[in-house]
Amino acid sequence: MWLVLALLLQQPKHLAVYAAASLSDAFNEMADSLQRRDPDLHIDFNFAGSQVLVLQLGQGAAADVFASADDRWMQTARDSGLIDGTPQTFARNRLVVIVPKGNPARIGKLQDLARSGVKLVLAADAVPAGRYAREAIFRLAWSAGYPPDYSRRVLANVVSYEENVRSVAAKVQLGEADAGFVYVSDVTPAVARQVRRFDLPDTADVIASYPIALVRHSTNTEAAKTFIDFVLSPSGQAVLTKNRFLPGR
Amino acid sequence: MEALLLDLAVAKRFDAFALALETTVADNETLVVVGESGAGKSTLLRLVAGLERPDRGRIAVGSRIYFDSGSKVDLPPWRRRTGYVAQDHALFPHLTVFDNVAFGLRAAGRSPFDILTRVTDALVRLDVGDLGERRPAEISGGQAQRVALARVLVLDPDVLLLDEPLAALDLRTRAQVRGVLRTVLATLPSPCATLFVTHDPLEAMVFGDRIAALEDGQVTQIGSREELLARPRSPYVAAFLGINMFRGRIVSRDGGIVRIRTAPDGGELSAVDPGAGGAEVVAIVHPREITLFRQAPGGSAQNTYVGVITELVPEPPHGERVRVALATQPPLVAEVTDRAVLQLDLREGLQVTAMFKATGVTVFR
Amino acid sequence: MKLLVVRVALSAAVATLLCILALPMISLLVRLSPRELLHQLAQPVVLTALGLSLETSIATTALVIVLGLPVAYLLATKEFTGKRVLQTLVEIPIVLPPTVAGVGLLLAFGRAGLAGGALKALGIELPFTTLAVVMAQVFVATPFFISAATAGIASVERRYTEAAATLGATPGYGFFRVLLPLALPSVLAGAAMSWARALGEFGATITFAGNLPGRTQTMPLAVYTALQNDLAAAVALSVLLVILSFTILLGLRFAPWGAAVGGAPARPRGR
Repeated sequence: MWLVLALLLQQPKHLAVYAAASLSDAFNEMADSLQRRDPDLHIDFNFAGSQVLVLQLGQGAAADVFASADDRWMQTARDSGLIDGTPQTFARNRLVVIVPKGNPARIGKLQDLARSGVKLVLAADAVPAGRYAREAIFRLAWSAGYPPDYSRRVLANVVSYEENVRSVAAKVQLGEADAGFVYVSDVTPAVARQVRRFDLPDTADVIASYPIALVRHSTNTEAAKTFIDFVLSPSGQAVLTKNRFLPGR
Repeated sequence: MEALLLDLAVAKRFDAFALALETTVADNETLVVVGESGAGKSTLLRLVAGLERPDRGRIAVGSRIYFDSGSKVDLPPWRRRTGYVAQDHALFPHLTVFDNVAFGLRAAGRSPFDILTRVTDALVRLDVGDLGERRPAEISGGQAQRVALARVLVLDPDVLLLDEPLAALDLRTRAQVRGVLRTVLATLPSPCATLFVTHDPLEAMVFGDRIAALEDGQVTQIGSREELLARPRSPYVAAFLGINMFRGRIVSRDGGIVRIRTAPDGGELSAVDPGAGGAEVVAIVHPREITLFRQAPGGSAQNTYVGVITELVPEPPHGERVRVALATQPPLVAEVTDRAVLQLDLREGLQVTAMFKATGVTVFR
Repeated sequence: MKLLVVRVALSAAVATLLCILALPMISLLVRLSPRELLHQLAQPVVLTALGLSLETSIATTALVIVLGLPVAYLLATKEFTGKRVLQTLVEIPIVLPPTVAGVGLLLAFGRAGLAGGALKALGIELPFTTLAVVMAQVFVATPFFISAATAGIASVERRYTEAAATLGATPGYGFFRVLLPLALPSVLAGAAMSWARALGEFGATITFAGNLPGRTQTMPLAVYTALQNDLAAAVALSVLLVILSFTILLGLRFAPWGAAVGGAPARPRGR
């Protein structure tokens, strides 16, 4: 009897984590740590725009943990009965503007984004990063030192609405876009080598909130809880900070 | 008008054989090229048409040089004034008969009026005048061949290349088209040298001002039909013309008669001594020299053979003469009248006696 | 007994495949009521995407025919060194994931790409333009046209082109008056297939040309974007795409010149 139980406990545990695209580096690192500690644990990730993840969960995708890039999509998931328990904010992120290293559009300050002919790339509206970017643009327009038609002119410069924030970063990195709005966490060392970064002033600073929650009907609740706990633990937070996220509180 | 002479000297290597031919064809002359399939007859026409290139040689028509390996001239087919009619007419399936015949004229940019008159005229001459609006799929084989002819004749070619034009037709249609073709070739409006390929001896006889025999790519004989009939130079030519021809050796002499053993089957003939010379000879027996009997008649004819009839073939066009193939040693082909066939009640499988005199054998070295 | 087993197996296979193919489309078609469907289809974003899709896919097809015919002619009629390399090159877009194709296009023709400098000198910047959409579509649709056209041209018997040549037709005249008309069923079938492929192109388009309504947001991109916000709009767009593609391909089967792809045979002309 104990033997059977012991055997059962020895079964490899598969965890399916659905997480926003911007979390890929940080979560992969965390998974490595956890899997080293517990060789029976196997963590599979599905990284995509939060909007896509909610759609998939809504159609019955088998996931155990959901980490969203904003509260809005987490709320949508809760409203659809896809979440068990209360989500917890485990990280925050801030929005920045990046331009290619060669700065083909000669952007010196954020006001230059309104200059006609600038090729601006944003994430699509449904993507949290896209919504945050629009919010940032509106806030800038209301700040001192920015012309009244700033938001209209900046939005007129958008040449593409990408499906996730990493694509935005890629287009700027490749030098195809003149500028893009991404998370500070997306500016990895590799990306940083090929772009210049502009921080948003305090008045327009947009902070993204990342909640994490257990998915209802998960078949690995134990392992899921272990993962969530790790994310919220000091070790997990350290990994997030290392990847340029802000702490959850 | 300059004399239009087709001057031909070509050589081309293939996997199985090498083609080599040198001859000239005068305008208004038809040279018939005969040979087994695979001997190179069709290739020859394609070389003249420009659809294939000789390894070396020269093809010229009058003063216009189509090909010359020496001076690196090679006119593409559309710049040669040749009219090529393939065995299977190759009429364009998506065009009407009229448009088919008009094709070359349109390609040359002739005026619509010009085209209309010439095409109508050609169609009438070839006796297909009322088929203008039909498609190739809707007309018979014989009609299609005539349309194909009209299609090239309408362009007044300098050289006419006919590749077994009657081969795909059934016997009756063949006779019909043959008649039309004879008239057409005899009444060509402009000077034209004709190369006519066939494997049918009758067509060769009917159309050929001269006949060239092509065997394995080489010309074994070229001459008028009389020359070929009188002195065929190869077994193929002889067989083609329906003559018994054997190679052999003189094995004995006795009074003015020699015995010749024929290779490879070892049958023997008696012939008049050809005189001093080598033992290797060629012996010819004309089919008409052979008489057939149901029973050996006795007597002292030197050449008597008994054998079974393997084939009875009435000669076209009306079958008054019948060719009888005998499984004698050596094998013989006799020619008798249809009355004789009836009188003797000849049929395949019947054993008969064939006789001919020694003087009926022509020997030469 | 064995025959029965075979029959059952065959029927099962057919039924399974039909389910896999037909069910998704049926699900799309029944999801919205006709009134909802029409309401969605009247939205400007839908009409814009439809217009852009038709515009670009037709331009693509025209371009593919004009550029593809010479290549098909070459592959079908001539032997030359490197022929197999050319054949493989022309087939590659079929096996390449469209997004990979998009990345390739970006690295080649993007502003910072291999040919970017040269294009910039001519005043052309390709990414994020409608022209880029056409290029992405041309990239993925070309193999469909070329393989059909090559097969069609190669199947025209040589005796016809030879006859044309001996009748005085230059290769050009012979091509347009004899070869092309006889190869037309296959050529048109290839054009229709490549149009259908261009219409459905997504991965290369979004990577190379981007996603902007009115300029680069074709119907497939509009579907994907709508999907995350508004399922109803996405379904409506999908229904439109399915109907459009189905009509094109079905039309092929009925047109007499669709004989090349197994459609109705050309009406035999009566005696």
